[in-house]
Amino acid sequence: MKPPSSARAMWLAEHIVPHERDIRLWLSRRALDLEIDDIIQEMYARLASLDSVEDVRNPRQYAAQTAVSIALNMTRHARVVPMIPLGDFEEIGLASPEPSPEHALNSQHELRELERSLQELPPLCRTAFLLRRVENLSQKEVAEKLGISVKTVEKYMTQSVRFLIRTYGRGGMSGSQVSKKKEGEHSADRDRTKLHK
Amino acid sequence: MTTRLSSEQIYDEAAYWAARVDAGDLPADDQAVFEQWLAADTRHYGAYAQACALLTPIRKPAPMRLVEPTRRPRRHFLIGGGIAATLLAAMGIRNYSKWFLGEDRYRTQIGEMKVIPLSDGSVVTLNTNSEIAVRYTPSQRLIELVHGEALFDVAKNKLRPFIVQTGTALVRAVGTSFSVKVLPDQPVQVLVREGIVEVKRPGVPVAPVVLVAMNSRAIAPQDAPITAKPVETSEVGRELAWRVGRLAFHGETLAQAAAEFSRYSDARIQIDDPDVARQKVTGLFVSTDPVGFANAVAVSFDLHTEISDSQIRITR
Repeated sequence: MKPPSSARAMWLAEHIVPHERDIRLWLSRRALDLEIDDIIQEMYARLASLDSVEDVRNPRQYAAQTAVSIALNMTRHARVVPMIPLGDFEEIGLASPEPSPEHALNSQHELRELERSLQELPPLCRTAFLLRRVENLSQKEVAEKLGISVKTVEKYMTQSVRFLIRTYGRGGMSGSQVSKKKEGEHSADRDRTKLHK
Repeated sequence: MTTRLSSEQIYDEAAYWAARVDAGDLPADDQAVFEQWLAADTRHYGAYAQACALLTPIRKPAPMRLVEPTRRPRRHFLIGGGIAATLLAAMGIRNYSKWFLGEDRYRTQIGEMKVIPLSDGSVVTLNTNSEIAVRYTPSQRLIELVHGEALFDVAKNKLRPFIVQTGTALVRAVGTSFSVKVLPDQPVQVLVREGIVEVKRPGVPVAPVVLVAMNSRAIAPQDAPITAKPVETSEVGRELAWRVGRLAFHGETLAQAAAEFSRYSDARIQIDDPDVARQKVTGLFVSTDPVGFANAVAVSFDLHTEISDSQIRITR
């Protein structure tokens, strides 16, 4: 199995990740006796291994339908009566062809919330992650810029990604479930971070 | 099914592999371990795809207007006097500075605030008594903050860095949101609300660059190195309350609050009693209403106010 291409990862980041929270919410309201993480992981697997996503007109709805079909399959295995009338999509707007303007606004707000959520990470870790993702530097360039080892940068990437997955998994940042900031390092570390050009 | 990993564990591993692959140069034996892991379970593959998505570069949305756009049309100010300027002005050429110096100037009076959308999609919010000169070239977006305070919501353009210049600091951004303050008798301050900026000394070819991330403040004093410190998100919000015509205090002394108000109107708040001046205030006030502030303070601290033309005295 080939790992997903970077173009596909980008597509997932732009078209699926912003809706993950709604899909999780919808699934959890069905009160199915299923691991929602399992369904979401399967959903990403299917979306990542599609031959092409060019024909996916409405990624939000497509992802939701994929998740539902996975859930149905699982319930069949689990021999639990499936309780998913597809009309329920209406309920949280998963059926609408496009996210509503309110939703568009929300996802912009969500991005802000998300950026803010990175506050929970140690400063140097956060800085490294932002340099990689927002400023698009390579891990090596990040290491050079911050004067830390490439291994440390890699560790920070693991930590940040894990943190974001957890953030989405728990319904975004509005909840209070976010883990308390771990005092792994002193905030002064970053203050001393200077580089010479 | 007995060896099934929990979804949490899968996510741990997925984040680990995504970061390693993202670093590049995976050794051959690790590559084999990775591929084996990836193929072992669909959920591994899915969690890995999810982790990769969270590591891809973000295309940020266009900066949001923070304040409704000013109703006033763009205005260009004549600066520096001079015969040429006077002549050009007399000839009806209002946009003198652009015509003459290749720049656009914007200025606010005391108590005024302006939102200035720039040609590249960036938005500058100019606080009270402030002035900027916009000098855009094809290779860079240079803005000089002559004095005062401004918030910059920068439209992303990697090829055309956005640079704010002050006497003691050069602030460089690609696409982000930050404010810069140039006030008399205070070191230059840079407050970053989103993303990262680089701050360094102007005019020094090999000046060290200080990276300032979201929710941090850099200080650039005249005679000491530039430093940066994180600040609470709530403090960033308070600091930028001026965008909505407010001043937010959280434990500042009355003297500090009075000094802050003096930036927004000609009226001066006078506090003679040093004990009163040391009292701490918390609250949200209208920046152009020092009288309202003084009255509110008087009520809560059991003090008196005497109001004359340009002076507001707070007394016991």
